[in-house]
Amino acid sequence: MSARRRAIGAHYGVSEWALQLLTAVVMIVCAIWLAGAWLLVQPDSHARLAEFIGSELVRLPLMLLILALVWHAWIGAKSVMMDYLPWDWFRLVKLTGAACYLIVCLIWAVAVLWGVA
Amino acid sequence: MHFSIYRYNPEDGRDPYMQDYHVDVKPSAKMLLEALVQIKDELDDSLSFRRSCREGICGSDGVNINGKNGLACITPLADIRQPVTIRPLPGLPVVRDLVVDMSQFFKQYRSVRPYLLSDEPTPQRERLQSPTDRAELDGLYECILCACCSTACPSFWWNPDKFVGPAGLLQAYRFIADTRDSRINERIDNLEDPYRLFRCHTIMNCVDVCPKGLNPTKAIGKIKEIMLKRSF
Repeated sequence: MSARRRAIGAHYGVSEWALQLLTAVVMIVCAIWLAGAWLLVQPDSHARLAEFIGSELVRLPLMLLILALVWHAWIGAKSVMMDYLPWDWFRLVKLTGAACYLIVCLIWAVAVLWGVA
Repeated sequence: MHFSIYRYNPEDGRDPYMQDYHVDVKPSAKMLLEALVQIKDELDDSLSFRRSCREGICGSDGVNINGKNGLACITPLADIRQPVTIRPLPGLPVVRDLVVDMSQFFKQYRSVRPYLLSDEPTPQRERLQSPTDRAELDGLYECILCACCSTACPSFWWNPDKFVGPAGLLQAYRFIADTRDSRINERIDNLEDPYRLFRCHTIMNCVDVCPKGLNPTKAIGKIKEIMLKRSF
């Protein structure tokens, strides 16, 4: 095989794989923190729940968890589509749809978290 | 014993079908390959399959046995549930009956340049290695290229033209781990790609079916680790 025709990588891929691992770790840490906070406070009414979520010690880790989840879901969705959708145009449409859905979810989460208290 | 075997002959114009065979396997027959040879000898000489060394070294007789890939020559008849369903290795084009076209598999294998690339001058005798460095190659060099692993991998089924597959990646790591090879960066560059390497999702079918007991998933994990370390 001549050097001109040698197979080489596209020089990316490792960053997405590492980010998927990193976002998974962030989600685990935040989930443990939030579960602990829930067990400590155990809000028993809507008002106390709103107060609980409104506290910066809960709201910020919760937002971080949602951000990590959205990013993780985006990399995962992209990966699944790369696996199973060989047609570029169809993959582009599906990826655009997934990106729009995840952005809407993120905006909604911000609106809920900063709208409760 | 009762066998149900995949039949396909592109020359007769029929769709592929499963054909049943009932055979009184000779008492001396211990392995599946011997039963297949007996079927061909006594019942149907049109049945096609590959075989050569008949002792798990050449990797010619990889087939799908009751839904799981394996080598017919080292699959004991006593351990197989009946009826024994035998199909060609999945995911590769069928040439005839149990014979598949392995061109795509070998194309991916060749793409990792599975041979030593050294910038050191060629020595008079062999290139020496310490016992510790040599031990790094255990579990990697034993691959016989039977394709059982790659054809059990869903990622290879979907992207055989882009994903190197477990067999190719195991061989890629075999030379990355070899201290006599001096092109590790070039080899990693070759694989740093969302398709060539990162279609592996650690499903581990490859580990489950490898007739030599090798672990391509572990080798792929080590390539990813080296790639990650190189990024920092």
